[in-house]
Amino acid sequence: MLNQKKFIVSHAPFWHNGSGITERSYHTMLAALPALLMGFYQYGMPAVGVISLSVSAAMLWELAFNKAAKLPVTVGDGNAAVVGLVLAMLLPATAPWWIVIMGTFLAVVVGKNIFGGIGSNPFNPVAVAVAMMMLSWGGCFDFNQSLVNYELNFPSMVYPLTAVKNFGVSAADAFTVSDLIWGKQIGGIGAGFGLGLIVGGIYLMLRGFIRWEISLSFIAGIILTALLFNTSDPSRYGSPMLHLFSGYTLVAVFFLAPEDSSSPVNFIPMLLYGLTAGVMTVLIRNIGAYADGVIFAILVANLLNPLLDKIRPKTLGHIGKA
Amino acid sequence: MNPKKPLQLAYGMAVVLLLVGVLSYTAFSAKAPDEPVRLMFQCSTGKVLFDHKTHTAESGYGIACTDCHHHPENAEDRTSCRSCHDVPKDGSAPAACLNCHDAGDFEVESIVKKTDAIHQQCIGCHKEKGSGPEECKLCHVNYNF
Repeated sequence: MLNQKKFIVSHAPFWHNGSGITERSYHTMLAALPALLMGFYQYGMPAVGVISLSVSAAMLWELAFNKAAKLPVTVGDGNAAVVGLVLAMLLPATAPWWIVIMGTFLAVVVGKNIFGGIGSNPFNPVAVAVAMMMLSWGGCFDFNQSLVNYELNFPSMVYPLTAVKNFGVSAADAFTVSDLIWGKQIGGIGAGFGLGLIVGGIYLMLRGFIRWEISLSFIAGIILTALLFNTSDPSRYGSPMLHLFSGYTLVAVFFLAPEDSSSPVNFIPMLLYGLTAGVMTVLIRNIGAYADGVIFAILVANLLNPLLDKIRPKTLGHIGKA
Repeated sequence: MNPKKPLQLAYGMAVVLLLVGVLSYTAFSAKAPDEPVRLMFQCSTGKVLFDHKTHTAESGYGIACTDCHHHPENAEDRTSCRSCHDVPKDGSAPAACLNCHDAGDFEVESIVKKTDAIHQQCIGCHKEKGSGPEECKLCHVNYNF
């Protein structure tokens, strides 16, 4: 028993396996690609413009902050590019240039860097930026309004969540689950194609870039809460599948909620964090003022993060005070 | 990996994407179609999403342009509702009216206000045809994202 080897560490020199923030950032962008390509296909060059400008502007804001604060340049880690990319996935293809510039500023500078940069932000930078923009320039996030000139081969050119919110579930009857999964719905450039987001999410989970506990408990939270509401009044509250495959849900599940510094690190806290975000999403959508409550649900879950991380595993051999 | 490489890659990406972004917004920006597909009317009682194409297309309701854009009847460019019915707050005549009429030819007070004009047009037609929403909240919606 005394000779049992528990932990073996060899002495220096060590070899770096190449894994780092840069690698992780580029793989996250790779995972977003299927959903983005569908957005480009559906909305054309304006969508390419929003994504390109957003990624570029986010990197330039990061560089500007680094220079202004006389800090080492951190653009190379790709985190700013990921922030810009995820932000643009939530925007409509017709987003004006100033919204993109303002949004990336809010995300990179206000959401991340003023708290100390990567790893120090208490809230997801993209969620902070989108929440501020929604409250300030809500019209830009009204997809019914932003995409009035688009005519695509979708069952309906009305945003499913606002249709349900205003006119009940029958207003979204035109959409089958298959339509929603295949992205036949208007919405953010990279938020509509459910299948693409799921493929990207599975890749990130398998590679260990995001924690499956958060994403899967988020989905479980949405399905369970939506099921309860839907069972209580099927004509008023959408089905779990509608909630899962519409709005920003899947982007939030795989790209917003699992962000490192704003999410917990232990097993039980991660499950509670994901569940909270999922439950809050459906609560805001069904009985709150907003058609898509995902962004605010993420911020609420972020707020709970330090509290949830108090639930820690017991230290081995630790003898507590009485 | 050389520590400078990721930074050089990031700078390269930022510059290329900036160029693509600026070009997309300028040279390849989406042009509004000649005939609107849908219109979003901003109202104090809630926005109204009007499906213009479904109302005008032969495969839809096939309504003639002049049924709504009734004045002047023979105009090639259809004037929007607001160009005549949106009377300036100072009580002056709308600019669109003065293109053809002299200021003294008509009374500004006789112009039907925009809200009344659109209400009469929409509700009147919906009642006449026995289809389409007639209740307020079926057109006017209030929501936040």
